[in-house]
Amino acid sequence: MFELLRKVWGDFSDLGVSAQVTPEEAKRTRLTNRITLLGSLLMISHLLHYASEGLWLIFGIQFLTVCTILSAPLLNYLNRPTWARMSMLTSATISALFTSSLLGFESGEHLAFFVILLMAMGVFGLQHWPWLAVIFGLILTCYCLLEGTGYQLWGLGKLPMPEGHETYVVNFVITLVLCGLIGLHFQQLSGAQVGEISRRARRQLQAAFDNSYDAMFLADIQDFRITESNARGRDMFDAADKLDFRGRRIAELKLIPFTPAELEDIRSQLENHKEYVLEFECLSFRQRIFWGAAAFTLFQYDDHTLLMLRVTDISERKAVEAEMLKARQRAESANIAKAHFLANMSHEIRTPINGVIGLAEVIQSEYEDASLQQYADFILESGQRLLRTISAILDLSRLESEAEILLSDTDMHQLLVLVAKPYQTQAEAQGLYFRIESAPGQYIAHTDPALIQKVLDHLISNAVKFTKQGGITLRCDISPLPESGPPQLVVSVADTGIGMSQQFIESKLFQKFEQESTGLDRNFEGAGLGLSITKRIVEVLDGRIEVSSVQHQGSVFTLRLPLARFFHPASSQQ
Amino acid sequence: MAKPAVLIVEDNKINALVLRKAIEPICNPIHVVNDHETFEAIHARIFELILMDINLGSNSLDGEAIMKIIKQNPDYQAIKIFAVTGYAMPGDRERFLAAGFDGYFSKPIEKEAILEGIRNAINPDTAQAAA
Repeated sequence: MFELLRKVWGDFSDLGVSAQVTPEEAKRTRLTNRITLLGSLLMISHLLHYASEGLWLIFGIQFLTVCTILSAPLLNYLNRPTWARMSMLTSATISALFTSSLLGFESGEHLAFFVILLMAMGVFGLQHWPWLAVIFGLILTCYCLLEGTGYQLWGLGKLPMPEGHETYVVNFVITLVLCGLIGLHFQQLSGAQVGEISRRARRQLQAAFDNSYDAMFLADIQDFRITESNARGRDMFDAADKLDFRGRRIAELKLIPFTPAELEDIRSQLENHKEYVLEFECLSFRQRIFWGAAAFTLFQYDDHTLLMLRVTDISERKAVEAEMLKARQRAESANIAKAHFLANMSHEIRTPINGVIGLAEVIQSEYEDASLQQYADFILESGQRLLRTISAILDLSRLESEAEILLSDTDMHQLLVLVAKPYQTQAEAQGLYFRIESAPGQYIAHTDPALIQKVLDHLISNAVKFTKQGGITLRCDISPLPESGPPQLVVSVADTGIGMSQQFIESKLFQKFEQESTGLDRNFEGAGLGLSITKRIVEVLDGRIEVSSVQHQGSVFTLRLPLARFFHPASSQQ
Repeated sequence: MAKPAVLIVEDNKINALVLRKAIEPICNPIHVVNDHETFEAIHARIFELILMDINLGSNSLDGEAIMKIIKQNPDYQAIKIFAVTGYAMPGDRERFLAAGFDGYFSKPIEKEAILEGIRNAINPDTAQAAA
């Protein structure tokens, strides 16, 4: 039983305590709660007395008082302080009026009674709330006026007087307690409390300032002298203590100090935009140089404006940035050097080839001798081949560094016919058939015509080169819709030539400088560069190249390219 | 009928020979090897056309610079200047034409293409009048 009472006492005492920030406030809240509970218990004991006497009107009034007074801590706990104070005020007023009438005071005596009550409140801290005294004065005046006409106006009739003086004394004590409670409650909002809130705000501000991960400085807006610094700021600038900054100017934190004009600019910017951000190299007290990102802000403190400077150490970021810049410059200069080298190599090879080919032509045109003519032919052939090889190497190098793609909607049939033309003549001269199975305007690819022309040229020239009987078939089609993905344009170059072994296709076909037959008995010209270039180009164009081949039966190279438009043969006839 | 005079500016004597042999059928080629000789040659006589190599070695202005100097001189407005060069990377043709050359031929030269270019460039009437 005792334990239960203690628990109720403790719980009630702690109502709303956790919401208080400072120990003083917690203590005061607990005190208020305890006085409230004690006062209530006192009144409840009296309630029982009224009940036993059958004085139900007085019982009702007192019961209301108890309810309102007990609701105050609860409302406080529910974070409704204003309501709590109102209920406190209500209960005190009821109690005061009731006690006063019980005591049977005359008008003058009421006045004296209320003065005593006001003094009791003042003792508990109501001195900061003079208007409360005014309210009580007004209530008092009304009460005194009403006194003349009796209680009839309240509809109460003359209150029945309980027996015994102890009742008056107890009621008087209760009223005093209530008034004291009001004092205590209102004190939380009184000047003392406001001061406490402001002190707390300042403490929080100070804590934020002191514990900031960034260096923080306060300075005078007029002369930019530092007045305050935080721990991180002292760390960052290698200062032993706050005194190191005393009298220093903001400008001195910068490796190349701010000029007066710059400071003036900062000031005017701040006055217009509220914040000024820049990055600069900082200089510490030990002459250490580091990169800082600084943000200037103006802020109002009491009546004067202060300049706040926040500095973040960004040395690491700057180092990374510098490294990246260096790497990019290196890459760029390497690229330029490569392009330059390629251009020079092209020039240096073309110049002597010009002599070789040109003079072979001169010999051909100036000498009738058959063997001279033949030798000149050989020279020409070798020269042309060297030129093709060089061009292929340059193409490949260029594709690997920069692929300048110009995509457009390309009629693949037209392109096929254009590329095939010289080879068609050549093939037919060798007794091969040469078919083009496509129709104009049906197969529009979204691709780079110049690059794809190069690809087709390689594929068709290879087909002609490696085919000794049968022939070549070029075909354009829309891919037989695969399970997923958009339809593609499929261009195939099929020959009935020597074919390739599976092993060669898998391991070497698209590698650079590979040709199936190596060694002295090579029958077929070419550096084997064509297919690796082809593959590279097709990849650059978001396409794919596939090959199937049977040795001694022929090869089929298939290009898959993004489709721009598809004209169904039926609809294209409309 | 005398053939029109064409100046070949080329530091490599083999290539100069090749070019000379190529154009001989329709022109009268004169060969010089550097900037200095070029200016002397065009000062001494009238040329219809100059076939200009670009890279003339380290002791001479390059062909592009020579072309620009000639083009700036009002006296030489009538002279057409073709670039004949080993610089044949993609974009080079456009670059040289944009610089002010009247024509561009890459090495190794294609004889027929150059002859065609020359025929188009040289007004036959002027050629006869010069004769």
